[in-house]
Amino acid sequence: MSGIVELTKVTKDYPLGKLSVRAIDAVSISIGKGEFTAIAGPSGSGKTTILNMIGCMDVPTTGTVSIDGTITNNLYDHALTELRLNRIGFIFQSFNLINVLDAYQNIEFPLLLQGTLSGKARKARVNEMLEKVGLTKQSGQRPNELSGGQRQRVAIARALVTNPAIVLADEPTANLDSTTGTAIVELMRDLNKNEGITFIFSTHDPKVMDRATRLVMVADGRVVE
Amino acid sequence: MSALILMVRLAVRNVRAHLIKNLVIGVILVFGTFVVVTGAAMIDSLDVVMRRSITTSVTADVQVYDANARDPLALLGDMNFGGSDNGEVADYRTVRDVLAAVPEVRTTLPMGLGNATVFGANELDRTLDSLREAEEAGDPAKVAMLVDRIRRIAGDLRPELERVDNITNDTERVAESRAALDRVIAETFPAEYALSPVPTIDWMDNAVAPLATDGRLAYFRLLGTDLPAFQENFPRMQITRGTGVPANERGIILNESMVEQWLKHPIAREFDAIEKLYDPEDDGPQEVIGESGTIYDRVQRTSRQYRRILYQLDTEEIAVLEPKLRALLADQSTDMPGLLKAYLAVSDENFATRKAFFYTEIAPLVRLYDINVGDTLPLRAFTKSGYLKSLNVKVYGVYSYTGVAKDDSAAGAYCLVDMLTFRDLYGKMTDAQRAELHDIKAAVGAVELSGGTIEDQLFGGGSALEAEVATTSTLAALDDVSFGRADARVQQTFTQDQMESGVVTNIAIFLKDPDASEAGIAAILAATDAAGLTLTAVGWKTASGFIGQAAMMIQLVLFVAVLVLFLVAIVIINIALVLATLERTAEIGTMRALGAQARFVTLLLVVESQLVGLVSAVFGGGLAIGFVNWLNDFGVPADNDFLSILFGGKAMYPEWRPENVALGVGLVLAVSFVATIYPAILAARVPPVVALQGKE
Repeated sequence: MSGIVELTKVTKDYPLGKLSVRAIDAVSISIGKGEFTAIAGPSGSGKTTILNMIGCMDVPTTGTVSIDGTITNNLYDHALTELRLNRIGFIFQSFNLINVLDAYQNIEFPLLLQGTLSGKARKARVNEMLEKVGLTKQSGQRPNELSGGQRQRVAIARALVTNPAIVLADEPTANLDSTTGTAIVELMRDLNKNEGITFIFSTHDPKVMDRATRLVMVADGRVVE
Repeated sequence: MSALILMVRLAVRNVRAHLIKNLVIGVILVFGTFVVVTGAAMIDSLDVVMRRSITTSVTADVQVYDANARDPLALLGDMNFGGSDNGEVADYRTVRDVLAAVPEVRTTLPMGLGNATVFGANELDRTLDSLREAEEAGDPAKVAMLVDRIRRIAGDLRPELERVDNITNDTERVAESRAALDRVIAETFPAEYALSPVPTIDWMDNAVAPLATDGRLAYFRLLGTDLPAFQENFPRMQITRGTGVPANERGIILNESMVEQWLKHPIAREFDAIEKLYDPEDDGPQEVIGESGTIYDRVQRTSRQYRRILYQLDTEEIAVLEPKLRALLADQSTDMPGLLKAYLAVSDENFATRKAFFYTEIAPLVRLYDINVGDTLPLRAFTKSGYLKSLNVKVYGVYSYTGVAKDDSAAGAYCLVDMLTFRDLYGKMTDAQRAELHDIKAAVGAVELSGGTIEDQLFGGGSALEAEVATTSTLAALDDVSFGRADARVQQTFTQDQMESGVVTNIAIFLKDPDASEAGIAAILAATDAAGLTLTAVGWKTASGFIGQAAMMIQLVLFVAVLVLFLVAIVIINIALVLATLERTAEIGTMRALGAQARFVTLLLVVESQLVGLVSAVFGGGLAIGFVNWLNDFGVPADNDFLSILFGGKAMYPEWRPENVALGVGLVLAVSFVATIYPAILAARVPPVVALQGKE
């Protein structure tokens, strides 16, 4: 296993009453460090399940998942949470900012959970991220005072603030207009190129797929190409 | 630390974000804190004033009595209405000596509890007694006046007798009574009386006096004790009339409320009772005499009791009173009974005037109290073996408890007698008296009989009847026995030694540190157990009986109220938080996805609810402090006698203590915490994957 993300014959079954539904079936993917990978496919194809596995939010029924060298299959919730906090950044389709916190505090949130930086260093890091996503002037605004694009920029800054090994983005442009969506994808691509951050995102938007350096197509729970 | 900063920041922001929900929860918790702090402050204050009131009235700090007593000690009354059997402590001095060695004990007092009756003579009896005294004193003017009064009373009783005749079959007795009354009423009676005064008085004693039925039976609760020591140790007891009983002398000090209840002139008592119903300080419904209802019926009954005044008036007194009554009533009648009846038929309009008239014009002419200081009180009581025993005791004074409303009957309103009178009245013998009885038995050859052989022992065991006739020599042996007990009854003084050696029913104990009563009780019990005495010791609250338990009941009621309130609060807060948690599933999932541990989420909810709890508790506690301070300024009025006993006065001035506030705040925080447990568990179970499903 040489990739930063290694999925080997991963299968995930979800119970549905007395039956079980197989969401993904024997999926094997290897993603290298610094890749800008799109996982694409129609709705219900299993791309979100694959992101769940990579994001340590779920564990496979069979097969193995390795994130930055750590096999997650047998980890307890506590260890999975640690892994998410320290190695993975998340960008959500619906931005998922914490409404009661302003932009600055939303970005600061994972740093406070980590508790490793001093107050001064934390402030410098948050301001640096605000600058990178171009929201220095909006740092004191609450999510409901920001546009969709600005919210997603805050979400990107929050995902990157802990210097994660991988950033996962679930349909990052789905709730944005075309122009804003393109700008967000460009921002992610710039960060990938300039800072070597590994991006893995699910999408069914062809424009977004075009910007990916690697495309993983999923259909009916299987990787098709 | 940074996680804590984040948690507090989130908690504060979330509390503000969900303002309505948290306001609802906050109001409940503010109310809860207010109730707890106010209630705890009131109960603590009540405890303090009750202790001050009760321990300084009659209970002292600790009471010791027979461990095998049938009923628990209840000095301020129980449900047995005075019929309690609290057992006996065989010898006070033995116990006192044991207790004197207990370091916690400051002083002890002997006590004996019992009930007694006093049968008040009717007005004819009293007049005949006065007549006899006037004859002995050779005072013809007074004799004439008293004979005249007796004739008036007889004249008043005559129509009553006709009414009795209509409802009785005992015509012979009615005929005898009619003849007796007619003889006294007759114009010739004074001359007839003058011929043989004393035999005529004796005849009236037997034939006429029983026809008057206005005698009254009074009930007293008696407390035998070391009277000077009682006065010294119970400072709330104040002599209001007369004096205390001198040391080592027999005598009684009456309780003022008992005197008012049992010995005051019935008409005066009725006026007092009606006035009490008008008491403007009474928060109850304003009662009026009106034309029907309880108070109206009471007035009707009172107006029929005009004889209570009439029988006590001489001709001269009637001559003084009659014109004043006519003026008051604007009635020119010369019929004194009629005038008195009209006078006593009070209404809402004239009540105040009539009452004032009674105390200014009538009271000086009649006997306001049946027994006065200096009189001898004929006490009667049943001994333990069931015999009725009578004893005359001199009344030295009247006392009341300071700081208690007019009627302190619930505050252990005992009439206080010396210990020797108590023992004599209830047939409780000292060891010396028992030894004396033993000597008497020995002298007359009395034999203890028992079991199934009583008949044999009595009648000789054989078929032949054997009867032993007491010989002159056996009876003569009685001459050698000193009847010291009989002497003691007439002996008005006694020694401290006699007072201390003998039976008591209970012993009052004052501790050096009244706050350490539990340690004191333990030390007392250890000492009495070690001495082989079968005694029990109880604190003032238990010893006080009904009233002490009432305080515990109030505590219990408050506890139940707070419990119900907080159970409701827990349910409401729980539901509100569960709903809030469900609403916040996406937010919680996001936090979990971003790396927040389940513990963080749990703690976040707890911090949020504790924050609401703390703010509410501070606000509720502040309100309660303000309220208690306000009550402290104005006082909680004792609307009734029961409360005046509890409060030790006409009002209680509650004070809050820091521990009351701590209790309120602590309980509210605990309630908030308990109410958060389930929602917090739910929140911790929210999986991070929800973040990918949720909408913002």
